[in-house]
Parts: sequence; structure tokens; C-alpha cells
Amino acid sequence: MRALIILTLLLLTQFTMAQDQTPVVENQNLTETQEPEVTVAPRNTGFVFNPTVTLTSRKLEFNDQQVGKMRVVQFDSKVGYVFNFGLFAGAQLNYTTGSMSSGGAADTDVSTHYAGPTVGYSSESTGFFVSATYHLLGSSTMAGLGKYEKIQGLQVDIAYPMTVNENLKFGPQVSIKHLDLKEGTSGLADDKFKEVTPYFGLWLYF
Amino acid sequence: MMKYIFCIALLAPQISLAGFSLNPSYSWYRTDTGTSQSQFELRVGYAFENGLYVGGFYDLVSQKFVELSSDYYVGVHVGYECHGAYGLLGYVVNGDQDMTSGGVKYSGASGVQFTAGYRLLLTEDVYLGPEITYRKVSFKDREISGLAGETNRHDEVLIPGIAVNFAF
Repeated sequence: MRALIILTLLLLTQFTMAQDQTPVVENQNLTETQEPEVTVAPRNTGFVFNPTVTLTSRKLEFNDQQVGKMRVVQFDSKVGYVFNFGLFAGAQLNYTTGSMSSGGAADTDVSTHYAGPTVGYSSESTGFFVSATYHLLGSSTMAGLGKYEKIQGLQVDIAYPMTVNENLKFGPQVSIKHLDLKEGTSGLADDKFKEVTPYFGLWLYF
Repeated sequence: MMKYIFCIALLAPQISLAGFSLNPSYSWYRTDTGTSQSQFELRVGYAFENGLYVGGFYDLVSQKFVELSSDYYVGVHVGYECHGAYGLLGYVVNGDQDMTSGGVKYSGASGVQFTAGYRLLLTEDVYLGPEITYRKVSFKDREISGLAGETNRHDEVLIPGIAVNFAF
């Protein structure tokens, strides 16, 4: 709820600061043989594909024997359209893969995916890209332990993409997720999952 | 404790004299299901005009990931920065790992550390960027409830994060 309020405030602030995207014409004092130099502003509207990734791991060994391991890789991808006044409308698909083990036990592999509609705002004036996704579909499989058939919940992303070229941006993103894991099989009880995660993202405009 | 140190680092005046720099960075990965890794790193170094960087680092690490521990590491590193992208290759010269339970403490850490990141200009003097740290260390000493002995423990971690840097 707090995340929603913060997102709303950010959006309202950015709406008031939005500016028109106009090509900048430099060097007006030209001679007849010189062409005007036009600096093309980076794209901030149109269809956008926004893949992000984060990964973390830890492995412990004692006397060259593995005593514990955990590895998590998350791919979150948004696709949608950014309107010329900054509004983003689209959807997000997330995929997580990982494994864990302790002692000399075999690895437990985990595979999770969830998806939902996304709205957001891309601020041309400040560079921030904020969005909120409500995940409606999803499942999580934990090898040997069972499966959650239903995943629902809210995700808020705050990103600061930096222009690489006219159609490509790159930057950090922080994601806040509050998810409910439901309909567990093999005795898995309903669970809640909260997470704050840094991501590395690309923004491809078409 | 880590949060307070991070806030102090952000608010404290930063030292920088003719290429010298003092930079904090904070990396973390956290879930509320009992899993988290966080690292506060303070870097002191000298940046040359050709992009080469030489310095040292001090890390405070909190791990609730596989095992629970509070760690610190000190070391030296060299690096290179080009168009905002940077890499730092470091060597851990000392460090401790204090386990949260069991009264176990590992010490005498040594090993390698590599950090890669990209610096984005946030405001005139403040940079922000994604960063990832890989560290592999081995501990040679172990202390259990005050009883010291030798050990052969290896810890290998990969921690993503967002780094904040100040320019002067």
C-alpha cells in the first residue's frame, strides 16, 4: 500500500514536470555553406521492450567438500507502449530459476514465473521510469517439494535508464515485490513473498 | 546497523583531493522469506587521468543466505574506468566471518574480489549505477566458543547492487 502511494506521488510529480520532446537546433549563426546541426533527442515514446536481469549466489566449502549452495537468477521483462505524455501501458513477465542445497544433499531446483498488466510513467525531464504491475498469473515449481499453482501480487519498479543511442537505454532498477503464493501441492501451505531487488535493465524503443 | 552506516556514508562530507576519492557503495539482495545479502563497501583510491584506478576497500557484509553471518573484509584493488563503465580487481588481505549462532568465528580471510559496474550521472555531483561483486575467500582460522584452531573454509558469493558515488 505504501509503495502504491509513493508511486502515485511520483507519477503526479512527473506529470507536472513533463516537457515536450523537440529536436534541438544548435549553431544558428550559419554561413550559406554550413548545414544546421540537429541534435536528435533520444526516444522516449513508442513501443518499448524492457528486459532486466539480476543474479546472486553463494557457495560454501569445507575441506573441499560443498556444505551449502544457493543460486538465484531472475529475468523480468516488460513490453508496452510509452505515449508522448509519458504514460506507459503494457505487461510484465517474470521468470526465476534457482537451486539450493545444504550439507551433502542434492540440489533442489526452483522455477517460478508470473505475469500481469503494467502501468507506469517515463519521465523525460528527470529520466526516471516508474511502473506498477499487478501479477495475475503464475506458478512456482520446487523439485521434490511441490508446486504453487497460483501467484498473485504487486510489483513496483523504479528505474533510471541512461541513453546509449536513439533507440537504446541502459540502467539500474529497483523492484519491490509483494506476492502471494497459493494453491500449493504436496502439502505446501500458502505463503507470502516480499522482496527488494536491484536489477540491470535495457530499454529498447521501436 | 548496516542501514545507519549507509545513511552516514551518504550524508557525510566526501574527501577528494586531486584524483583521490572516497566512495561508498551498497549492494544488496533481500527477500522477506529469510534470505538476504547486503554489502557496504567503502573505497579509497586515486584515479589517474587515463582511467586507471588504484586503491583499497573495506567491506561490511551481512549474509542470511545459505548461512547467517556478519563479515568484514579489507583489501586492495586496481581498476579501470571508461565511459562510465568500470571494473575493479581486488585482493582480500584480511577478514572475519562471525556466525550468528553457535559462537563460531572464522578469520584470516584471503582471496580475490571483482567488481563491475556502470556509473550514471544522477545530479551534477552524484553518480548512481548498477554494480555486481564477486568474491571468493578462504579462511585459515576458526574459533568456536573461544577455542581456536585451523580450518579450511571457502566462501564464494555474487552480490548485485546499486552503487552511489560522489564526484568533486
